[in-house]
Amino acid sequence: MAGFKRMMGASALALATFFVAGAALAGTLDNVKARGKLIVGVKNDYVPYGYLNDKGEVVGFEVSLAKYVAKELLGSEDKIELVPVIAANRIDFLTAGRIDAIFATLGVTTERAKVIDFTTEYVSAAGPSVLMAKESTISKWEELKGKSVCGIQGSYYNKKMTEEFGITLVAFKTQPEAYRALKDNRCIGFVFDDMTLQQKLKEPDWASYKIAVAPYEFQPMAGGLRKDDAEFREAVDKAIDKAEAEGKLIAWETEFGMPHSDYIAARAKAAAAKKN
Amino acid sequence: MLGLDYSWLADPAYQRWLLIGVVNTLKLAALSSSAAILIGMLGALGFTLRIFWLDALIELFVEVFRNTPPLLQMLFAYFTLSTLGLRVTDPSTGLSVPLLSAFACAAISLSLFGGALAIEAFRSGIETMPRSIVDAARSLGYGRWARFWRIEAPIATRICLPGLTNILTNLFKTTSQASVITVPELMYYAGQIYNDTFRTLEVMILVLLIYVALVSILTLAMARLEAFMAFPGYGRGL
Amino acid sequence: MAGFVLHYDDKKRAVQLLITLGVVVWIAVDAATGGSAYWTRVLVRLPLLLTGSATGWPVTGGFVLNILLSIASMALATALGTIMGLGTLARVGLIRVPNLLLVNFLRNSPWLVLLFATLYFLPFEMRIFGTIVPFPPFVKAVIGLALPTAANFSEVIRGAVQSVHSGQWEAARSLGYNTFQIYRHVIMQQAMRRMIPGWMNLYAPLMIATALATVTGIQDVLTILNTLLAMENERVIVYFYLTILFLFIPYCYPIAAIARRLERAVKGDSL
Repeated sequence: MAGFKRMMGASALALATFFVAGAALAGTLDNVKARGKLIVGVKNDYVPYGYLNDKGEVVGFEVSLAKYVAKELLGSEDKIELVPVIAANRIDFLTAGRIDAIFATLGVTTERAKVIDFTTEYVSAAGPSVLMAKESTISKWEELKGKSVCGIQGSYYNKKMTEEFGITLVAFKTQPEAYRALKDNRCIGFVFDDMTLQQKLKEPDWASYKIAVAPYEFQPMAGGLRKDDAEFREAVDKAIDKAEAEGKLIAWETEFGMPHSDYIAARAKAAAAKKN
Repeated sequence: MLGLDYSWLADPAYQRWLLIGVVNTLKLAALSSSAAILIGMLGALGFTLRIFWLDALIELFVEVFRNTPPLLQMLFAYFTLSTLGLRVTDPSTGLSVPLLSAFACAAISLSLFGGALAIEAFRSGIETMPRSIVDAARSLGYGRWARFWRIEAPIATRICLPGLTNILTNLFKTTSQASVITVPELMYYAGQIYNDTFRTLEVMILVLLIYVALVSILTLAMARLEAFMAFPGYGRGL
Repeated sequence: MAGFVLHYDDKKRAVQLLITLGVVVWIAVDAATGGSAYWTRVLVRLPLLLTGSATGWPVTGGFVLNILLSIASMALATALGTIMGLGTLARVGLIRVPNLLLVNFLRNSPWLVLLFATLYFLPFEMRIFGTIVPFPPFVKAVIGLALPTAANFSEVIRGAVQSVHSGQWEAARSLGYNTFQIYRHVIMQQAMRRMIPGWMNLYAPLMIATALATVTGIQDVLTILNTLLAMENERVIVYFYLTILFLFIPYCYPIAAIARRLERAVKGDSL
């Protein structure tokens, strides 16, 4: 047993030497200006917020917003590097310094607020809903108890699904895998962000499916920034406010085929009023 | 000392997840290790029969399974075997569902991968058996089976043990890849916990410690077994 | 007897050739009888799977990236492993013990977990003398895969060095060589021959492990396969998976086979 203890002690020691965590970089605004480039984490698989168009370029509602922010900070919307992120890595990318900001369908939650700062909220997005075959009779979250439902690893609502609704969650790393598993009947439904599922339903392949269970909440979305960098946050917020006041967000809703939301209209109005 | 925050460990949900994760990891490792040893023995035995076509088949099996990524084997089993017809009708819903669950896919892939490694290890163990011992046994009048059970098998087992330890630890570590096909083992839950709590460093350290501890226990147990079985001249019993 | 053995191996090889041919024929028959549409899809996507770009050039990912990743990791692992290996042989406890601990720790950790660890704990860029040096995911994947390989290589070195008869050390020392000189002129010359098969044996598992790098988000062959999952129908996916499985075999098998042959050649050596 002495050998075992020694080995555990050894492991702890080795760990300490192994993890020399990256020091947080202070003064993002100065960094960005020195670099001449804003590095933003965006989605590239999430219509309409950030996705690849036919030419293979990353476009979308939040991509346009990020470019607008780059223009405000650096004078040109081309002074930007778009880094594709997924839900599971975006906050790590930010805190580790890989990116300066997240504009990637980031919902505002109190847990996240403990580790990052949020910009002004700019969208109110529906939470998760469940995609199921048309003939399904389930329509409430409670009815999913004990059922196998596909999901995505690292989604913020996964714990609620298993602990509160008693769902047997089958969580995948990526969306294509989850869609395939749903078609394969490995699960009876796919719980994911309502906006994405709505878009999926428009595809001919998915004509025999429906949103069976509606979202239980709406959640404001905002950009994510490293904690306690007031200077940078104020600069980004100012840019977002300006975009809202100019009616840009409403224009982007039209451009990317989103239904016009009252939330964005109200914010645009308020921002314009504040400006005048 | 590093400002580590383990307060999330107080959450009963996370405690349960970690426990389930460890249990599933152990189950997967135990199942695939046993199957791999069995496959290894059968394969090595097949080689000793010196039937040329069987030899050829076993060799192909070994090369295919040890030269492809286990992760890819698992994904293949999970996503394509059901398309190829391995489906059953679920009596409760009337839906046609895949026959093999994620756990079954992972267990089968890992067994075949480990089995391929084990066959090779056992075969080289038998090959390094000194010819003189076999000849001596023969001259003492041992028959084919008696020779195998009383002379060859005991010696070969001892020669193979260190190699087997390597394979079993390798297999144990490889179980972590099953999280990719949704097997709820330790890595699967670890990912969910650090995504919820953003305590990536703390969760990773804990998970690494659990794996290193479990693998260390396995290595120590195998070392004990080697010492227990040792007799002069073979394995570590020098 | 020798004639018979040769005959036996010939027969065995004939069967293996036959099976391989059988697979080729099966593909041909399948392509001719309705599978052709699927194989066409594979052919269309093959440049993408191999190089990460639809036209085959420039190389931005795919299987070629897996190969590059394995080579870079192997190079780094060789350097790190040598340091660690010699460290574990040091006579000074202060050097030997931490090295042994590190080697044991790395050897007992799952590759996937180590890869995640480097992904999350190495910074994405580092400031060195005012310039910002980026750490892209590829570099992190290289480091993550090199760590366990380096630990395994350090064991190979240790084994090889220890297999050199201790009399050689004593003789060299009595001739007035210092430790560095003994390693350089006496031990390594001989240990190298033992080390090379062990070193090569590490390569095939490393190449196989590059499939794990998909978790770092680099455009390796599995990441690309995964995006194709969304674009192709389920029947085609089977063909894609088979194609990729069989990309690994012709690449890994010859290297592994050469390593084994070398190993056998060295086995009889008495050092």
